[in-house]
Amino acid sequence: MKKSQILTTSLIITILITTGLLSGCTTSTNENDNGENFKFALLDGTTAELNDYRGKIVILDLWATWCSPCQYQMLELKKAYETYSRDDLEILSINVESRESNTDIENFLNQFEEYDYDLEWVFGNEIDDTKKYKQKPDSGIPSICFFDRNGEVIFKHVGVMMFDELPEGWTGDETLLKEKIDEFIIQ
Amino acid sequence: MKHKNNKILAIFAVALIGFIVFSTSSMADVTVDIIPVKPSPEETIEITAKITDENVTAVYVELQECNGNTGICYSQENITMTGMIGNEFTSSITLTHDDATYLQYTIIVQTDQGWAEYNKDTKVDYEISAPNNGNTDDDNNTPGFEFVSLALSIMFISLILYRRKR
Repeated sequence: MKKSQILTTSLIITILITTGLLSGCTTSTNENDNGENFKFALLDGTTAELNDYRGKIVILDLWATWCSPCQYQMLELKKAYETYSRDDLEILSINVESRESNTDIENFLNQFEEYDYDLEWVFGNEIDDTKKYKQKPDSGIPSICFFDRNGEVIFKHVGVMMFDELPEGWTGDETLLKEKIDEFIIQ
Repeated sequence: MKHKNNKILAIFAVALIGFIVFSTSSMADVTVDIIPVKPSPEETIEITAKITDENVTAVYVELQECNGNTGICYSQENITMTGMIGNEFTSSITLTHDDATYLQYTIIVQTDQGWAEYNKDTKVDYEISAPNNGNTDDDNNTPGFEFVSLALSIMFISLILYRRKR
């Protein structure tokens, strides 16, 4: 066999082997995604999904505009949003009241803005049912659910969660948002 | 002839203006009574709405129960109110959460002009003490969550009412 033929054959074999090895690297990571997913409607009318936020700790906040404790929860979530990098943490506040529209949510946000509270994270309306992310399906609101960077549920809570400090005389749950975020961010 | 046409036009214009004014008249007045005035958890309450609008076709009440100590709220589905005499609508509702400390309600009225909300998110305290407000005998009492939540709610409600009056 001539040298040139040997070289050509070797080159072809090398290309075939390399292609075979690299094809494994181009396999879609979705095949290995065992995390949770659900769709929700953004305020601009488009649709988003939980798996759009893979790679981050996600706080799912289930709420409604009529819910006063939910309004207070927004203030505590704002502290969390301003403390952590967008690479590490995202917050999804999904309205679970079917009677409330995107306009109701926008009006709600505008009222907060008038008091200089800019709530800048992701807000939307429910499309897929989110009840399974409550502590129990009939739990009240606000309901908080943490997802890890792979989209798996790691923590659920019902009622207001303070960020890093409990108000004097507070008789609610003493679990703090900051402690939980710190715990999950380093995992 | 020209005078007669002008007269007809004038009458028509006045009638049209009158029609516009009356067809876009201000929203109805709704007065709500709740018995008992301060309910207890899991009690059955009677809620009555007196509505001035004569063209009411349906009335509902949206009701939520909340715990101001732990910061949790629960919603009920829209509850139909039954029409009585004299444009009064009433509903008997059994409260369902033993840990609630207050309820909120909104009256929704349907007329031939569409839907309208009244008394939006009006708060009614239950007949129980709120332990998280601390020692009420202490002059240095620091308000607890419920006070802060109430203050925030009042702030928002005041803003809404102010905007409606303008």
